[in-house]
Amino acid sequence: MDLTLSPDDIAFRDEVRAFFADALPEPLRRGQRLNTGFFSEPEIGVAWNRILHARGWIAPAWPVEHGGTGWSLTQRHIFEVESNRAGAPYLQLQGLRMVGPVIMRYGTPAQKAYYLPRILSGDDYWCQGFSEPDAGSDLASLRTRAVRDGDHYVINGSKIWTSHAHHANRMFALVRTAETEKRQAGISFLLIDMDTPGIAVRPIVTMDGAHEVNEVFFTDLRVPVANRVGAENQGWECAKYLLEFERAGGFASGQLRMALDRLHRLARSTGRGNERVLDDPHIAGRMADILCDLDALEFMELGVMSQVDVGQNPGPVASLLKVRSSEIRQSISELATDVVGLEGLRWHAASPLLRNDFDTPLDEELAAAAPIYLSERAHSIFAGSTEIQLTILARSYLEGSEQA
Amino acid sequence: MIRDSGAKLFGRCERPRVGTAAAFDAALWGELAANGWLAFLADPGAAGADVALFLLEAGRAGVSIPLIDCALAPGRALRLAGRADAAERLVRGEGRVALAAEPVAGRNAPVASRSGSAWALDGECIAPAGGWCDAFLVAVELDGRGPDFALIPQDRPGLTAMRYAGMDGCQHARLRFEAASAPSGTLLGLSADGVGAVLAAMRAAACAEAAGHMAALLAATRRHVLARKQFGKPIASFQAVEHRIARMVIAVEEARSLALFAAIRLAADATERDRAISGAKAKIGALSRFVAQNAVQLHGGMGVSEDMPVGHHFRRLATFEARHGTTRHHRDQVAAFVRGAPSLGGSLLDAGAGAA
Repeated sequence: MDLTLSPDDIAFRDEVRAFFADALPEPLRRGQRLNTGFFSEPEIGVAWNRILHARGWIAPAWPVEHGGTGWSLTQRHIFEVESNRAGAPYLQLQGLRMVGPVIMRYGTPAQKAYYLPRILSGDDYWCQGFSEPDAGSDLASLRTRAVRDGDHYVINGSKIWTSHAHHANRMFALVRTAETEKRQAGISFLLIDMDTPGIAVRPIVTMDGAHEVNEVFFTDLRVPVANRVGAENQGWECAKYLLEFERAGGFASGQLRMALDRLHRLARSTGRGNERVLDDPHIAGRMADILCDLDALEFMELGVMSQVDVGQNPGPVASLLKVRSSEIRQSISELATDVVGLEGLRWHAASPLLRNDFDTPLDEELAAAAPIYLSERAHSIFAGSTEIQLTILARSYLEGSEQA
Repeated sequence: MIRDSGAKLFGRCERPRVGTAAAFDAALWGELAANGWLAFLADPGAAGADVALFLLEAGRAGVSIPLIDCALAPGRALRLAGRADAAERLVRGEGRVALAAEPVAGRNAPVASRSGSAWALDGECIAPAGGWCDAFLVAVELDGRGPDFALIPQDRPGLTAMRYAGMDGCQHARLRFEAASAPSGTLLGLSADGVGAVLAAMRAAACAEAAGHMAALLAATRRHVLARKQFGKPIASFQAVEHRIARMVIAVEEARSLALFAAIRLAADATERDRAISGAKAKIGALSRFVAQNAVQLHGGMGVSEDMPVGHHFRRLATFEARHGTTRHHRDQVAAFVRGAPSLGGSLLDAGAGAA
C-alpha cells in the first residue's frame, strides 16, 4: 500500500467530482445537510438513487452482470470519498447492500430478474425484518412463525426496530419455519410485499424526536412460497451472507471524514467575540484525537480493501471496523454538542428536520448537530452491538493464530 | 521478507533484566553490520514501510539494541551531510555514535554560538544510547541559523557526560556543554529540511518499534489467559477478560496501521509528513499505555513479576512515550494543525494526488 493514486485513478476522481458538481442538485444537498438519521428521507434518497441509476453508478459494489460498475476497490473508495465530499445524500442500503446481494447469491432466476432491476432503479424500497422484541443480539431466538398452507406461508408474529418500514413497499424477513434443536436450522428468508393484508406498522419515535424505526405486526399474513429465497430452513445462511457482505461492502471513513469536516466548519465559523470555538484548546485537542482515529480507521479500511481485492476474506477485522467506526462517529457528534453549546440544543417544530426553514447552510448544519448526537447513539447498538463485536473479536483472536 | 529476516535476527536475543548492567550486544551489532542492516537503516532513501517492518520485529522481540539512536539517525544525518567516510565506518560497526536530541526538563537545549572562527556549545541534552558510545551526534540550535547536528567526541573539553542505566535497557548519557569548543567540521551543516527529515524518519521508526512491543505484549497476554485457570477454566473464557483482550487487539491494530501510515508519509511533503508523524506518535503513545497497562492487569500477579517479559516491554513503551517529542507534545502539534487547517475533509489518498 503506497497511498498514492495512479494517473488513471486521478482521472477517475476528476470525472466523479465533475459529475457531482453537475448532477447533485441543491435541494438534495440541503436534504443531506438536514439529515439526522442513517438513511435519507425517501424524497431525498430515492431522488438521488434515480440520478445515480441514470448515470449507471448506483451499485459500484455489484457484479457487472447485475448492474455494477466494474470499478476497482480503490475507485470505489474514491467514489465514496467524493460522494461524501460533495454532500450527496445517504442512500437507502437495505436494497443495494443487504437484500440485493442475497438475491444474487441465493435467488431463483425469476427473483433475480424481477427484484434486482427494481432495486437499482429505486422502484422498490426495502426494509429489514430481522430483530424481534425478544430477539436482538440473540437473533436466532426469533419467534415469528411461518406455517406452510399450500403455496403460501401463513405468518404471525412481529418485528421491531424496522427502519423506514413506513416508507417501504417490500420487506425481507427471517421467519421460523421449524422448531429445531439448533435454532438457526429452522429459519427461512422471505420477501414480503408490504401491501399484503395482515401487516400493521406502528411508529417508534426515538429520543431525537424522529420517526425512523417501527414495530411491524403480522396477523395471518399470506406470503407465496415462491417469495422464499434459498431453501426452507436455510435462511440463516442468507442472513450470515448478508451481514458479511454488508460489512465487507461498506467503508465508513468517507462518511466520517465528512462529519468531522462539518464539525470543523462549525467550530471555525462560530464563537464568542473574536474567538472561534476552534481556538479552544480542549475542542481542538479532541478534534485532533478524532483526526488520528480516522487516519487509523481509513488505513485499516484500505488494508481490508486490498485484501478483498486479492480475494481474501477480511475475517474478524470487520468487527474491529464496526466497533471503531461507530465509536468515532459518536465521538464526532458528541463533540458537536460542545461546539454548538446550549443555544444549539433545541427542538425544531417539524420532523424530519428538513421540513423546517433555515437562513443559511451553516444554520442548517448547526440545527442538525444535536439531533445527530441523539440519533447516533444507535450506531453502537445496531448491526451487532459493540459488546457482541468485542466478543467475536476476542474469540477469533484467542482461538486463532497468535498474530492479531 | 524484511519481516522474516528481522524476526530471525532478533528472535534469539535475550531481554535485559532490571538490576543488571545493560550490556551492548556487540555480537548482534556486528551481525547487523555484516548483513547490511545498519546500512539499510542509515540510508535516507530506504522505503519507509520497509524500515517500519524491520523495527516492528525489533520491538516484538524486545531487543534493546539502539537501531535508531546509533544507526538510523546518525547514519542518515552523516549521509545527508555528505560525510560518506564517517557514515561508512558507522554502518560497518566501527566506532559508535549516539544521537543526542532529547531535552532535559527545565534546562536549555544545546545552542551553538560563534566564537571567533569556530563555534562553542552550551546547554544540556540526553543521548538515550550515549552510555554505550564514544561520540555523540548532538541536535543543536545555531545562533540565527536554525537547527543542525554537531558530531562531538566524548573527550571534547567543555563536555561532561554522565552515564546511567535507562529503564529501557539502554545505557543513557546526560550531556552538559559549557563553552564546549566546536571547531570547523564539528557541525554537519545540514539544512532545516535535512534535520527535519532525520527527525521524522527517527520518529516514524520509533512508532513502528513501539507497535512491535505492543504486539508482543498482546501475544504474551493471549498465551497467559489461555493457560491460566481459575474457577476451573481458562480465564480467557470470562467475558470481562475477553473484552479487554478485544480492546487490546484493536489498539495493536490501530498502532500498527498508524506506524505504517507515518512511515509511508515520510515520502510526502513536510507538512503532510509531520502531521502524520505527530498523529501517529500521539495516538500510539496513548494506545501503548493502554496495551501495556492491560497486559500487566491481565497477567495478574505474574504481570508485575520480572520473571515475565511484560515488564521489559512496559518499560520500553514508557520510555517511548517520553521520547521523540512526548505524547502530549505531538497531540498539541496535531491540534495546532486542526486549528490552522482550511478543512478536514478528504482522504488519505488525497495527499499523493494533489489535495482538493
